[in-house]
Amino acid sequence: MVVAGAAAAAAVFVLPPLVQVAVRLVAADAASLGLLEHDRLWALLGRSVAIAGAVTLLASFAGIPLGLFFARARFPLKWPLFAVHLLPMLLPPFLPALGWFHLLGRSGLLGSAATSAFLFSVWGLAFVLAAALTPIVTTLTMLGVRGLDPSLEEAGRLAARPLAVGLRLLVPAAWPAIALGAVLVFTLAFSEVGVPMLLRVVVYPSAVFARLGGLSFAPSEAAVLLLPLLPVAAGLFAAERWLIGTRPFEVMGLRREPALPLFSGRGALLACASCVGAAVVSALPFAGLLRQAAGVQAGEVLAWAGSSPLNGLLAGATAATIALVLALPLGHGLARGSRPARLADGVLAAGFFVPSAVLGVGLIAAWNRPWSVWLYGSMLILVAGFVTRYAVIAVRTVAAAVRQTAPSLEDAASVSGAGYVRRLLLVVAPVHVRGLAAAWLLVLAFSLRDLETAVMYYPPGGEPLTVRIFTLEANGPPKVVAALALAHAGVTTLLLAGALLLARWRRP
Amino acid sequence: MTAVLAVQGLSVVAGRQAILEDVSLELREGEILVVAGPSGGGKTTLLRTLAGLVAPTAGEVRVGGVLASAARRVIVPPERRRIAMVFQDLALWPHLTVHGNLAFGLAAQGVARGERARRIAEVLDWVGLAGKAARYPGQLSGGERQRVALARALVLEPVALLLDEPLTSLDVAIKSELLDLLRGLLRTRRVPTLYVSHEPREASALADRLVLLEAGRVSYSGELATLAHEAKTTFGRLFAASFPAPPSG
Repeated sequence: MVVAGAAAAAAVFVLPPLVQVAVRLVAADAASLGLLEHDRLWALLGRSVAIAGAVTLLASFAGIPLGLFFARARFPLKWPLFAVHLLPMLLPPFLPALGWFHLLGRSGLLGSAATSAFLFSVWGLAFVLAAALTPIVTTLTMLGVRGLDPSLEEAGRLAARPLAVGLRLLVPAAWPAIALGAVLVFTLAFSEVGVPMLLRVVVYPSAVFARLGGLSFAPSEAAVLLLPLLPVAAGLFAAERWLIGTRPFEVMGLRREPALPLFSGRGALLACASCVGAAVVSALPFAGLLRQAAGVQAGEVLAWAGSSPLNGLLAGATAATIALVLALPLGHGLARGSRPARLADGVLAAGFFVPSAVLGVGLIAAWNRPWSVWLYGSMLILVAGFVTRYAVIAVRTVAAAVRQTAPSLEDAASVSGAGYVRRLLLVVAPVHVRGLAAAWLLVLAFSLRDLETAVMYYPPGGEPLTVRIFTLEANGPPKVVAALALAHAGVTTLLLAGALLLARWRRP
Repeated sequence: MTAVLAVQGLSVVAGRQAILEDVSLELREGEILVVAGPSGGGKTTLLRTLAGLVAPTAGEVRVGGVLASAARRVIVPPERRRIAMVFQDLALWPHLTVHGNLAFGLAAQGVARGERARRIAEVLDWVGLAGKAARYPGQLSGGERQRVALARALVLEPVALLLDEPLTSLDVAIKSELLDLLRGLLRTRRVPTLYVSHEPREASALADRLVLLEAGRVSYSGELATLAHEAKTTFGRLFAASFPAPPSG
């Protein structure tokens, strides 16, 4: 009953926007459908898919070995280097892109005509996005490898060299996690609006965004422009269901680690050098931002920021809390094979994998109505958008945590007379408090990094910091914009530090 | 006779807990040495240290007379020891077929493709799995998976074989069948084998010599026949008393 209720609540968040887009499409008039005859539209879509594909390839090429090294090599400062490498993943890619601009742009720290030409090109866009999104593949590869039964690695070590064991046994065995990383990178790269607009590379989602912003909102035209995105979304959703679905995904580090690191001697040196290189690439754009922001007054920054940092934090924290309330029964149900939970997981995954433009237009179409002005005209629309897009992350995190404990813990409570709610609140939740906290932090982090959906429907005066920086970039003082970007990175660093402390915490 | 594996004064400490304390033993050419003991006695850690998967805290491990591990150092890495191991949970690679599981180590050793195929076919025939090379571990029964793990170890033609309670969690009929298979294979191939078990029946069926490991220390080392008279611990006496009676008549 509780699971079914949570599943219904999840559907209330995700289905109305998607249904509204579908209804608008069915009702589209001939004039709007005529938009699809423009060759440029299809060329742009092809370019966007090609760029997202290139970003995915680059991120996988770098992220898979990095994940293997972070998981199975031992060298000094490994975890601080990992944290630095991870940081861009938790920021809107637009912020590091701004840093790269201050580094490689014509008047940047390392800039020249050649670096500027590279940065403001399709190749520059692919590089900037790959640098920002590689940590996703790194992290999921690392978690996938650390989640493997150590005896699989040890059995390989008796017969083969470390690199062969890593590449031929551990990476293929961890492929569900790695595939999830690749699908996530493609999804985020394909949806990205801020970086292409900053680097002046026209891609489909940014063109749609510019078009929708430039005309008085015409629902059927908006829906038609989204139509070409739907097959891509369907493909991503199918890939996610096929590759990962409800596959067991135990990654929370509760397994015994092999006693010896896989890479030692020269292997450890190579691992260390690669990980230092990755951390440097992640940190470099912040050097550009720091240089740009030098000398700016704190008061000036606060005045320009207004209430936007608080807006983002408040909306993100509220969304994370709602997502967690849904995730506890749904994640538990998913781990224990409940059908409604599986169904809700699929619905929530659809909310994540549809391109942000589709979700944004759907949210506007669903909630911009006289009877729901209390929601659409307030911060609640940001909360609804974040829950719709990111609740699946909380559900998967809770499910991964629950899967790692034997059902006998709950069975023991059951035979002691505890009903479902009591078991959920007094056994499942306290036992998995670390997983629940991780789920909350992840949804908060993703909400704080969101630009591409929030920019489409933020309420007047209620924009989050990402949107504020994005709009200021066009006409605000560059020093202040850089300082705001650094402030955003600072808040995220604090969250990251909290998450790393949480990961190290062990129940006595 | 040269010992294939020799352990001298071996200790392993994890955190503040001593897992092994001053263990000495050797495995000789062609023999089956059974290491038995209660759960938590350090048997698996001993095997993992011999294989080079754990560095000892003190003492040394020699493989074919060569110093392979010393205090806090793994000198010869696991892949160069030519020791094969059957893990308690089998550790079959789920993404590789039976053929892939067996071929992995041979490919790593640089064995040519044709020779690889010949050796895999031969070993699968020994363990009664001819015709199942294309199956994945998940498509096999518990007993068949056990045979794959054994075949994967034997195909490497190791200098020594380590078996970590390989028959645990099998039903009585399959266990008996596999015990016969193991005994036949190990006797005919004369692979020096260190077999970890806590089952008196397995020990009496296989062992040339027996070592009892209790709380990380060797409490007995010698022939099976003398255990009943020489055992100094309760576990040793109970273990000896549990040997199946020889067939009468």
